Amino acid sequence: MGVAAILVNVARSRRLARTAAPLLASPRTQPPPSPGGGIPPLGVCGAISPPAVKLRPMPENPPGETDDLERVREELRQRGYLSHGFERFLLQDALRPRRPVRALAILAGKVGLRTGLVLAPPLAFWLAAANGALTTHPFDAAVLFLHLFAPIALAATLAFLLVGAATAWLVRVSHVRRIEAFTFGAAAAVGVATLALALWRAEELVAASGVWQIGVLAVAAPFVLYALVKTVHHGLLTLAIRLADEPSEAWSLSRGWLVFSLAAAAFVVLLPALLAARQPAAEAPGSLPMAPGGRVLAIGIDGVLAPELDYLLARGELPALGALARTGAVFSYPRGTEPPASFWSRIATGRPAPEHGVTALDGFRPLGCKTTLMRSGPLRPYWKSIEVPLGLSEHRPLLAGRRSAFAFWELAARGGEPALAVDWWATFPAATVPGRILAHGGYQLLAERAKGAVAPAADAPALADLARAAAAEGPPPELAKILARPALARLDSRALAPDRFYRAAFSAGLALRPKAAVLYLAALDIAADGWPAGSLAFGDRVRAELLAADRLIDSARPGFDTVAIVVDPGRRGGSEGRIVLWRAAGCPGSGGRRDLEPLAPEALASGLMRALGLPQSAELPAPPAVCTWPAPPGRVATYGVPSSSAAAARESVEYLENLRSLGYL
Amino acid sequence: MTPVPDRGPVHPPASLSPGLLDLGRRVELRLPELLPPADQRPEAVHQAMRYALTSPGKRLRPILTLVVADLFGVGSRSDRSTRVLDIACGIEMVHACSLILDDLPAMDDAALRRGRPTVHRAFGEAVALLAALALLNRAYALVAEAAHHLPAKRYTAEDMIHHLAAAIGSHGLIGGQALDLSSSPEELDLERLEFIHSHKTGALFMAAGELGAMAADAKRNELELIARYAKNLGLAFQISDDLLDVLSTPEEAGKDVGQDTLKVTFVKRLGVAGAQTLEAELLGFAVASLEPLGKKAEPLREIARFVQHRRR
Repeated sequence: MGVAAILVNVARSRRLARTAAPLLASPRTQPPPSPGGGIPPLGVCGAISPPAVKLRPMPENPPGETDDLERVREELRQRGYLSHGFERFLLQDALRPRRPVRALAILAGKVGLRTGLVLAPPLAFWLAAANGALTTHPFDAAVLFLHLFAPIALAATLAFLLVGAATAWLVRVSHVRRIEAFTFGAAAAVGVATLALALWRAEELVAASGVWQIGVLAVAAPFVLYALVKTVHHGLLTLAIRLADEPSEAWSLSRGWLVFSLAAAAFVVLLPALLAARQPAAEAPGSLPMAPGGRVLAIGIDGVLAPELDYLLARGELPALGALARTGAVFSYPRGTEPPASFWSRIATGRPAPEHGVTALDGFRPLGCKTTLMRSGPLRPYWKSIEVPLGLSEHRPLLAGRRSAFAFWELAARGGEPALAVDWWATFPAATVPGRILAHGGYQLLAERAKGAVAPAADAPALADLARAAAAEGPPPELAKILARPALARLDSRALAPDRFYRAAFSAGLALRPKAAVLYLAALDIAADGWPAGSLAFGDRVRAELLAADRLIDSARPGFDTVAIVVDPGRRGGSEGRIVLWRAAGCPGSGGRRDLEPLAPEALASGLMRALGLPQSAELPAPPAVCTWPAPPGRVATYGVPSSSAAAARESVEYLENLRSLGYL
Repeated sequence: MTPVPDRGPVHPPASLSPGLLDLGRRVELRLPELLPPADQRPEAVHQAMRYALTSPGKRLRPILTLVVADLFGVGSRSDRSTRVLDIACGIEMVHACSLILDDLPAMDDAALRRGRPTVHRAFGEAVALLAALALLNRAYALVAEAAHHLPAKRYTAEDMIHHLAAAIGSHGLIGGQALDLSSSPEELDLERLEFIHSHKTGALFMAAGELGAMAADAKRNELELIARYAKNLGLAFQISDDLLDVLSTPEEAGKDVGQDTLKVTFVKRLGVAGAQTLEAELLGFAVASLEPLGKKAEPLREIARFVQHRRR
């Protein structure tokens, strides 16, 4: 039996018949009691159940009845009747004579509204907290609530229609008698499923949240869950009472609980603002004390598994890197599911993920919000597929301005000495510093003549020539034997040619004698995304790309006092990465041991900054102890926060397209 | 898929469950014991009292008292339950008194009540008046005595008597009846209509619920919940009464119908459908008011459902 048929049956057999009868304004007969219902024998108290009652002619309703009814309602509310309290406004519908389909629709709408009120505030809070808006723009949480309320209410309405229809079907077909327990069980299942879904899909938000944020959410979660379960339970119970006309057992909620819940919600909302007010950010010094320091070279190679590197080093196939490893130190670090932009920004800034501000490759800025939500958690499809097309949100790529901590090459260039950065994450648009910055994705950006690809912009033509030359060089011949032409062309333009260009641009940039030089090579990581050939061929490509990097290291190293090579598995899924650190002053602490010391990427960055002659920031950990570091020229509380730079809309869109074409989005 | 027959509601909506009917029977059995013997002088008054009190009624108000007391922990076999039963019977006596007076020629001049001739038709106006007063006094005595012996910490016997007196007096049932008699249909606005109904009917419903709660030593906030429930229930009951006056025959209703033709009622103001909607909303709110009391309050929800579906 379909749900619609059940609802029609209910309409036929219930008080609705009684409601509708008078409107016919003619004598008629009440429907007899349901055959299976069984009328108990009349007691002396006079329980009257005549089988058929003839109704007398009805008086006509006065004109404007609806208006009168509303006026009467209002009058009665003022006199203490029909007070539609928020807490019980669902249950009040339990005895309201409406057509079942309409009743279900209205009830679902009410459940949706209440669910929106229950879920939107914590979600808005969480999004704001995870994206750092609570401390910078606390009112963004309120704007996010407005963005989230309607979709949550709508989704909850639709979900309740489904759950309600299923409940109605079960109550009617299975003749569920303990509707209280049944509806509570269904509501609890909905609540647990929602919680599980939230924890599963919001892993990104949880990972990015600070301890106190997680603490606040952990405190709030039971209340939110309670309110959600209660809302669904009341909705289902109301439906069940209407359909079953059976004794029900309402689940109790005392006024005290309600007050407690509201107080807890207020606490959750206010706490971040209080904490933000009480913890002013440390002030950055006007100028940094600098020691002469040495020159630092850092190269990041993405998409290489640690065993692959270990194997090639052991076989002596990477002579330059091997030499660095033998005279320096090799470290390992654990690698989770952190996005590449976030991980490489830790290397650049020495700050962990929530603090450096780079947490995703793109983000969404809801209308009215000042913060771009780089972490969207489970709501990403909503922003992307609904709000952006409707014009309610902007889709924004990861911009350099999003980074809320200085990269070490930026700090090194403060004294006027040149810096060189090529293709490193979170460098678009390229900031103007002494030296040269080729922004992340510069190969494609130069091809599209996008602004912000290079700083200074005057270097763009020469670099564009290099890019063209890299493209003209064509893919390695060994790949041409195993790959079809289109696949090869795509692989080359996405992954291999860009790295050829970046290596060439980096080599050319070294002529500037930069104090800090950084290069990011992502060919293997990008190539692994949709690799068109077998694993053996990919292994060969790993060897070839690492050899190319090794040759570059060999040619670039002279003149640098500190060299750091970071080899990361990227999206290939390895659980650890490798850091090869070499200091001209030596790393005697390593003592030639073969076992790998664990090293946090932040500590590596701290060491690079120390090597550059920068003061030690209280926000950064100490450099790795196994190497010898110069004494810092001083200590500062913080290096400060870069001022945000806004890219033009067109360039943002181009960069966004680049990220998408490279398989990151 | 095998079609499953529609078994319909568990309890036919126009009847009370066996449990509530049983409470009504307890009241029915107790009432004659609380009246003077019919053959004792003055016989006519005693017979009229008995006639009025033992006629077949729904006993909804005393049932309400007993259910509420039970809800807050008064069992059915203790000495305390006997006292509560007496209070419930006192409530029913007040109700019977009000019906006698309401049916008098000076008021509604009704001929039928509970399927039988009204008291003044059966015994004469003078005896009817005296019987009504006697019932009222008996009710006060009963409630006072029962309340005096109840071990309630939060409420004194005086509190309970005051509650009952307030429900009956010129600020209660009598006040509502007086305004009902003195108001012409033209001047009967919503505010007056609500006043009449809430005092004529609602006040005794509230007293019934509240005395049950007080007898069980319920907390103040629980007492408030019951009062809110009873207030909405009382007005809904009156609206359903008005609906029955329009929709039923004398045989079905057990009393004269069409009595309200010249009166202003919610049915007149809103039409049948509007009045039914309002009645359901009031009952819905009454049900919602019980939510903090949990599953124990189910009998009260059942009473609300009964009011919505009653045909008498």
